[in-house]
Amino acid sequence: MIKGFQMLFMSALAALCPLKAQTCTQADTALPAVMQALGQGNVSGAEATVLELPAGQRNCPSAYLALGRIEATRGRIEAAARSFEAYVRARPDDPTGRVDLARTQLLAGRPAEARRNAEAAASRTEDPSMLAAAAQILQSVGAAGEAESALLRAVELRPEERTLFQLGVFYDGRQQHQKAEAAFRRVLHLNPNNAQALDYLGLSLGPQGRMKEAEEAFLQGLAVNRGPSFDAFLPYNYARLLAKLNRPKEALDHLNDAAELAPDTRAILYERAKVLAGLGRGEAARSDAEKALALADPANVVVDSQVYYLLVRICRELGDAAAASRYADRARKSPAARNTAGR
Amino acid sequence: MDPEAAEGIVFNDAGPTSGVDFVLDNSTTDDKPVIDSVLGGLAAFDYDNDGRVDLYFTNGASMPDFDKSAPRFWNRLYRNLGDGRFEDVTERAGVKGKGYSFGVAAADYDNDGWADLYVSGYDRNVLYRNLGNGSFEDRTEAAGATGRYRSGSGAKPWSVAGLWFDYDRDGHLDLLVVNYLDWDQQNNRVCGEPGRRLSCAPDMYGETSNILYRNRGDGTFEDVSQSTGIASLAGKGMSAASGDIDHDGFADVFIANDGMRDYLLRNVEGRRFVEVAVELGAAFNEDGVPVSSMGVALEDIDNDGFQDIFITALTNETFPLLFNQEGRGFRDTTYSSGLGLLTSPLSGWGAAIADFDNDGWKDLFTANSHVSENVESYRGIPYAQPNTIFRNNGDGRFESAVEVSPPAAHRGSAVADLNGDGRLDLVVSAIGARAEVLLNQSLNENHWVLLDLVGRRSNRDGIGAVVRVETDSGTVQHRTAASAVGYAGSSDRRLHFGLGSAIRLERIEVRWPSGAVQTIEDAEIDRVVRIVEPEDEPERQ
Repeated sequence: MIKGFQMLFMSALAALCPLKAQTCTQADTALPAVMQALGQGNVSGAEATVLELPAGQRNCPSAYLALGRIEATRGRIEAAARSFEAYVRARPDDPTGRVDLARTQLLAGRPAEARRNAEAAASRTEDPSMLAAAAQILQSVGAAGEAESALLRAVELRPEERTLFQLGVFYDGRQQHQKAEAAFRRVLHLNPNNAQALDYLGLSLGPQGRMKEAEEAFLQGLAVNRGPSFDAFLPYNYARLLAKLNRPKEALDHLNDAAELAPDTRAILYERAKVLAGLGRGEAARSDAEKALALADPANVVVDSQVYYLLVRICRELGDAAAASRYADRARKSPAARNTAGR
Repeated sequence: MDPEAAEGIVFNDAGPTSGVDFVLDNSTTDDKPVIDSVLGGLAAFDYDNDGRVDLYFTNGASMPDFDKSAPRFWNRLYRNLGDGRFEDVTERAGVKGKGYSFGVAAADYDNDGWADLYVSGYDRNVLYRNLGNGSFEDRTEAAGATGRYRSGSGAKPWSVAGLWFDYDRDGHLDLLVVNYLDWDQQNNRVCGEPGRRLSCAPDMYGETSNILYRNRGDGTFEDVSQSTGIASLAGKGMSAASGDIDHDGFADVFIANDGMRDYLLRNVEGRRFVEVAVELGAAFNEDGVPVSSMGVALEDIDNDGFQDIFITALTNETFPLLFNQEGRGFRDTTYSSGLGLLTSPLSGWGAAIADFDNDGWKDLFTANSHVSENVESYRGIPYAQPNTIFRNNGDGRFESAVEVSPPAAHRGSAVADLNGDGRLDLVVSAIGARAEVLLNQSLNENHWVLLDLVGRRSNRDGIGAVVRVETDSGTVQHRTAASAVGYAGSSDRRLHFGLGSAIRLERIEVRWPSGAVQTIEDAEIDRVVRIVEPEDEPERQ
């Protein structure tokens, strides 16, 4: 088993030693085995495969790529970046290494470098999956235009379900609802039973005011919500639409389903509390909202101030002025939710 | 007042023949600085006391020097000639403005019977006193209403709107100056890509605090921002409206903040203000998220005697509608009223709550356009949008949006009966386009009354007076006298009531800001009714 310091040494070496022209057949052959081991979670096995290479082969580009991936899996981002940099120096036109490097640079908090390498990768490949990977990085660094171009090229080269789905999610995130709708419809053309795509289709139709179609999409999604595209948040999203359509009782039914599918999810309990409050069931609403408050929400789907604000209303309507005042104070002191809808 | 009895709502733009040729000029540049997207407040008011409503439009200035000398940047005053035409009297009246203007608040601040103007701007605010001879004089410095901060550097914050109201009930109108972002040309940011820049979001700039001027009654003002608590509350205000939310007799204030929680300032016995929007459910949308609040209107929409709140915001945010629960708090009915789905595609500026079909139920109006000229290339959202009226069904729901003008970059708006036919008309400014004078040509047999309040012990405009109207059919409506309505502008201060099929007014009750309560029996309908506050009214509240 390789010790940490040996890995560090090799990584350092990778950063320092210029790569020489040589035959790298063994290293190239070993790379798939390394990737397979990593794919199985067998990091030690992957490391062993690299170490078993003859010394001369460890300076081969494939060895650096393998090492970089091992380091990245270990969470040693800077070390991984050094290995990928060595690989990119040796094979500057290979988009794979550029994407790997960009990803680690992003994780290392170097977005400008990540963007540069992702753009380079996208410009050097006709591989749709590589373009999609580069697009993901570009989107993360705020290069939306470049990300969109890469994704569009990917789906043009090979309009496969996964890439089209990614394109739809991209547009959804930018609130370009018509384009999102078009992408998800193409996903569904390839796979009509993709529940996640049906969920997103409903989400993209709602803001266009096409409520009936949105509801149909959600209902179709619920009917096929199983298998690899199972979507635990589909009942939640459908319930939110029903609440907007002023059908709170139906919304409540679906929120109950959502709470069973994804228990201890703050957003679901918060939404149910809102619906219950609207139905005049103040005590149940308060219970849900206070439970929601106790749950972590790392993605900040529903932030504390939103729950406090709801609790102010619930407690005020329940006649508990002291609690309403307490929650109001907390709502003011908590960071407000970020408004992403309007701008 | 059967809503079904009302015919459709129809407006026609009077067009160039009206003589209103005003074009809102924002002096935009390729970088789309935030300043160039939020102008356009206007006022509908009777400056010459001929009984006809005149129009005042605010305008931009050249950049980067904020020079207003070119005629294309002048603010403009149009006199209503009464035959469907307006005459530009800007130069004669001396009101072309100074610097980059945003909003205007019209009211008779010195109780001399002539309506004055307060123009809010980026670099200059101007108080125009109406001399009663067709002209105005600049009293800004002399009155002490410059809009500069009294303490610290004495800086002039960017003012967007003004609000005249009598917060201490002394019979003299006080002035709230609503300030927006801490923006200047040095800290200007650019957003979006070159060639298609976007107006930067307000979170890229700091907050400013507002200024409250107390009217001393001698033509001058005292800055009471500190002592009343106004100064301690920084925000990103774009407009404000006042009303007695909790029926304690003192005018409260709602401030629409852009991209942060809105403020509801409860007036504590005319001495200070306490911010209670979070407590009363008027701070965020129903998801607890701040919206890009721009315009605001306060009126009693459901005829329960309590003022409700209607706010305009950006596309996908909806226009929040908050129903007042008898002063205890607000219930967000944006979606349950049907308004959420109708307004989600729109971006609104000017806002009004008024009965456009005279059926006895106040409808909603919004002047629409997205804030960013280049938004369509990013998000597919149209920049130019039509103006809309949302008809009140009479059951708390709004089920249709009536488009009353073609798409344009609309901004401020004002409501008034411009031609004296009893139907409320609309005036809307638009960036780079001729202002719209939208005449209400809805066909119905509904009746109406327009109340012209004259305060004696109260402020002369009667601003803050609460009027209750009861018809022969037993229906009851309420309105509160105000001039600041919607986005950075003023509507006709006179109180319009649609009466539906009622043929007689049983009773009009006026609760004046002085505390006096006045009752008029059997008033005539389908006309303007002038109500003068008694000098020595014994009944007080």
